[in-house]
Amino acid sequence: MYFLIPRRMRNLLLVLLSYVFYGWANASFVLILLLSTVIDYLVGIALVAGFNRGADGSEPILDPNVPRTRRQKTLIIVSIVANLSLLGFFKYFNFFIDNVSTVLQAAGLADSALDSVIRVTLPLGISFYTFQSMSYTIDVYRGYATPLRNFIDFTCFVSMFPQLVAGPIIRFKEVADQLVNRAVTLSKFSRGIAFFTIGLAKKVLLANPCGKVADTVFGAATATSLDAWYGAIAYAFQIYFDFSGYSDMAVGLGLMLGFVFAKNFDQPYRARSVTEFWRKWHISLSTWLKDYLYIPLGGNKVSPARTYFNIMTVMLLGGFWHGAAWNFIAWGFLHGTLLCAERLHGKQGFFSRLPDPMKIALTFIAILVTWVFFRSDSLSSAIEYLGRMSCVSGFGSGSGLVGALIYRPYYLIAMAVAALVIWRGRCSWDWTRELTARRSAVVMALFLLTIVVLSAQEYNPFIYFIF
Amino acid sequence: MKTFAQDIRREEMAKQDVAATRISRTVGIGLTVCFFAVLFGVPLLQLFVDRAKYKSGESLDNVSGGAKLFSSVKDACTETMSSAVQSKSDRLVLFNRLLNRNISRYENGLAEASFMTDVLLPPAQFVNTYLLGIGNEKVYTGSGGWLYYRDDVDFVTVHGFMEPGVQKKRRDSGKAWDAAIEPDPFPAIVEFRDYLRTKGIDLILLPVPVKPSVHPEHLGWLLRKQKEMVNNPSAADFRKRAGELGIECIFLDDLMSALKNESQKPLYLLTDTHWRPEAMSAVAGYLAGILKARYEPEAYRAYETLKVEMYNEGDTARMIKLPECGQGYAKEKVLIETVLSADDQLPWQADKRSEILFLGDSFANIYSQQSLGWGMNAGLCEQVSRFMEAPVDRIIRNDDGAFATREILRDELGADKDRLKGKRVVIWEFSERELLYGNWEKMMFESANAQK
Repeated sequence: MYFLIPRRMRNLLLVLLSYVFYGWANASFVLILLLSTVIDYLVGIALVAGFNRGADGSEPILDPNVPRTRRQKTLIIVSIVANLSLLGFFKYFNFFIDNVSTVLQAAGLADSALDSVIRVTLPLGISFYTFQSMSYTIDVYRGYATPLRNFIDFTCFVSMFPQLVAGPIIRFKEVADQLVNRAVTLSKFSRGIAFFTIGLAKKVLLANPCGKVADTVFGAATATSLDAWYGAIAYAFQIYFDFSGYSDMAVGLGLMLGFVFAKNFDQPYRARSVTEFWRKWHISLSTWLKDYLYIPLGGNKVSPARTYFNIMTVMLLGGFWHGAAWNFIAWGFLHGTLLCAERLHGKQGFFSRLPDPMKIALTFIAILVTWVFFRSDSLSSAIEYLGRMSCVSGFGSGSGLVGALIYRPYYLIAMAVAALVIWRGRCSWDWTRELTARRSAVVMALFLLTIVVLSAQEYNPFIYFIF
Repeated sequence: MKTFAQDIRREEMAKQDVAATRISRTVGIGLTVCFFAVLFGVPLLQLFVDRAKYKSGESLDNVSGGAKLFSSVKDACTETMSSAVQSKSDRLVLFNRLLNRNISRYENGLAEASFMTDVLLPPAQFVNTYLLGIGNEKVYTGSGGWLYYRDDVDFVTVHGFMEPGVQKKRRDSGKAWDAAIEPDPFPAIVEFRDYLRTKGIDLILLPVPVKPSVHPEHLGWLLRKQKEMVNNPSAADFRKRAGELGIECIFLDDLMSALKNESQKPLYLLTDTHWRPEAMSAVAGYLAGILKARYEPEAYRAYETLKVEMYNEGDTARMIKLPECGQGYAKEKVLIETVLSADDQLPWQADKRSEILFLGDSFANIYSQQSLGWGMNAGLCEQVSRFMEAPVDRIIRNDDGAFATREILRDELGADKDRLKGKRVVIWEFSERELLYGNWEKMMFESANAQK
C-alpha cells in the first residue's frame, strides 16, 4: 500500500498506521501521544511567528546568535514543562506515591500503604517520544532547525512506528529532509531487509534464551556464586541483543520506508572504558543527554568540580529516565561514579597502560555489575544479588535447582554464540554494507529460522518497551 | 528544508554508509521477492487453510481476520453502550478497557488458529526436547524421561510467595481488564474458616506438594544425589502464620519423604504433574485415619476395590507438543484401585449426606474423572471414603484450586442448595503451587447466604 499511493500521501499513511500500531497495546495511549505532538507542533510554529520566510520561500530559522525574546523563552519552557509533566506524571507518579507511603508508614503517620490512591499505567515508549518531540522544539529554539508547518509531516516524525516505542531517539535534523523528500531504492530496501532480519534474529535467537537464563537466576531465591555470575552475564547479553536487535529492526524498517536512521549501538562491549562504552551504547540517548543536558549545564568547559557535578547529574537523571525505581537511580549513580573516576584517573594512569583485552574485560565486568542494579526488582535485591556474586554468601550456597535449569545445552550454546557475536562478530552496519548472494541467502535463512523459532516461543516483549 | 549547518554527524555518516551499500540488482530483487513471499505468504496461506477448513466442514468459521478485528471494535462499542455506566468519562474508560481486552482476545485467537504454528511447532519442539534439552515454555525436561511443569519448578526456585515484594508484583500484574489478583492466601482462608465456624464446621487445609518438591533429583545431573525434598522459601512462614491464625493444615512433606525413602520408587508420574496412585492412596489412608479419629462416622459403609491397569500419556507430555509421527514419550502404566460399593458393586459416588465435604482440584480428580485418561472412580475422595468406610461429599474442579471450588460452593449456597447441611468438616485440597500463582480472592460467603 505504501508504495502504491502518491508520495505526498505516504506520511499520512505512516501516521495512521503508527497510531494504530501504538494504540494496539492500549487505545488510550494515543491520546497522550497526540497531546505531546500537538503541543510541540504549535510551539514550533509559534517560535518563529512574525519572522519572515527565506528568499526561496523556506521556513524562517532563528539566528543562533540573536538572544531569544521573552515570548520565545516562555514557549520553549511550555514545551519542556508539558513534555516533562506528561513523562513525570505517567512514569513517576506511582514511584512518588510509593515513597511517600513508605515515609509516612515509617513515621507512623499511616497504618498501611496508600493503596486507595490511583495507580497510573505507563504508556509504552513515553520516555522516547517525549524526548524526541522536545528535541524538535529545542532545536528550533536554538536555531538548529526550521519548524515544520505541515502537521502530518510533524506527526509522522514523532510517531513513526519503527522507532516509536523503543527508539532510537530520532533528532528532527536527521529526518527533516527525509520527511518531505525520500527515495526508496532497491539497495536501500534490500539493506533494510537485512537489518530487520538481523535485528529479529538477535532478539529471538540470542536475547530470548539469554533472557530465560537471566530470569531464572534473578528470580531464584538461592543460587550459587557461579550461577549469579552466569545470570548476570546472561542479562548483559540479553539487554544488548534485545535493544540493539530492536534498533536494527527500526533501522531496517526505516530503510524500507525510505528513512535513514543513525547507528544506535557500536559494539559497546568492546569498549575499553566506561567513557567509551557510553559512546557505543544507546548512542541516540547518550547524545541527547549530552546535547540537551550536559552541554547546557556547562559540560566540561567549567571547573573540574562542576564537570563532575554535571556528569553525575546527567547519569543520575539518565538512570531515572530508565525507570522509576531506586535501583535505576543507583545504576545511574554507579555509571556517573565510574565516569568521574575515569576522568580523574586520566589518560596517564595505570588503567590506561593496560593492554586492550584487559581493559575490555575490566570494563565489561564493571558494566556487568551495574546491570545487576538495572535488572533487579529493587535496590535491596540488587545488593543481595551482588552478595551472591561476590561469594559473600558462600560459593556453594543454593540448592542446585537453579543450576539444573540454566546449564542446559540450548542455553550454553546460545550464550557461547552470543559471546562470539559480541567479541568476534561484525557490526550489523559493516556486515550489511556489502550484500553478496551468499550473504543474502544467509539473511533469508536467518529470517526463516527466526520464524520457526518464534512459532515455538511464547510472547516475549522487548525490554525497552517498559521505558 | 533548511537546517543549521553542522559538522558531519553520525546521521550524515549513516546516510553515506547507506548510499555506499553494494548489492547487485539480481540479488536485491531476489532478496526482496523472498522477503515479500514470506511476509505475505503466511497470511495468504492461513486464509487458504481457513477457507479449505470451512468448505470441508472442519470449521464453521467463515469470517476473515480483518472482519474479526472490526467486530472486536464494534463489540467493545456495543458492550459500552449497553453497560450501566452513566458518565461519559467512565464510558470512555470502560470502552478503552473492553477494546484492549477484545484486541488481546483477537490476537490469542489468531495464535490459536495459526496454521504455521501447527505445522512448525511439533518439529521445533522435537529439536528443543531431544537435541537442546529445554522442553518448551511450559515444560522442563528432566533425566530418564521425567518431565516437569514449569510453574511447579518455578514454585520451588523463586522467592517466597509470602514476601511482600512478590505479592506486590503479583497484585500489580495482570491485564487491566481483568479483576486484580489477590496473592495473599490468608485473608481468603480466614474468611472461609470463620464462615464455616458460624455453622459449626471445621476447615482443614490439605496442600499437595508439587512434583519437583518431592522429586528434584531428576531435574538435572547436578541434582542426581538430592534426597531431601525442596520447597518454596515461604513454606515455613506459611506454616507459622497458619499456626498463629489457628488454621488447621495437614502438610504432606514428612509423609512423602518417608514414603519415598521406604519405597525407593517414584511417587509422581514421570510425564504428568500429578502423583501416582500409590502416593495418593498413602495420603488418603493418612487423611482417613485423622478424620476417622476426629469425626467418627455416624454410619459405616463398606467398599471394595477393583485393580485396573491404565496406560496414559501424561499432561506434561502433551504440553510438549511433539510430532505425532515421532517416538514421543511412552505411555505410563499405573495400577489404580477402582472403589465400588460393597452392597451393590456400583462405582463409588459422592454422597451429599456425608458429614465430610471435600474441595479438591486435579490432584483429587486424577484417577477419578475419566476424561483425564487415568481411569475413574479411583481418586483421592474415593480412597478416603474407602479407608474411612464412610461416604464423602465433594466439589472438585481441575485447576484454580485457590478459588474455583470455593466459588462453586458459594454459588450453590447462594442458589439455595445448602451443601453444608449436616457437614462437620470441610477438607480443602489444593496444589501448593496455588500459593504462588493462585488468586486468593475472598468469596463473600455471608453476602451469598443473604441472597437466599
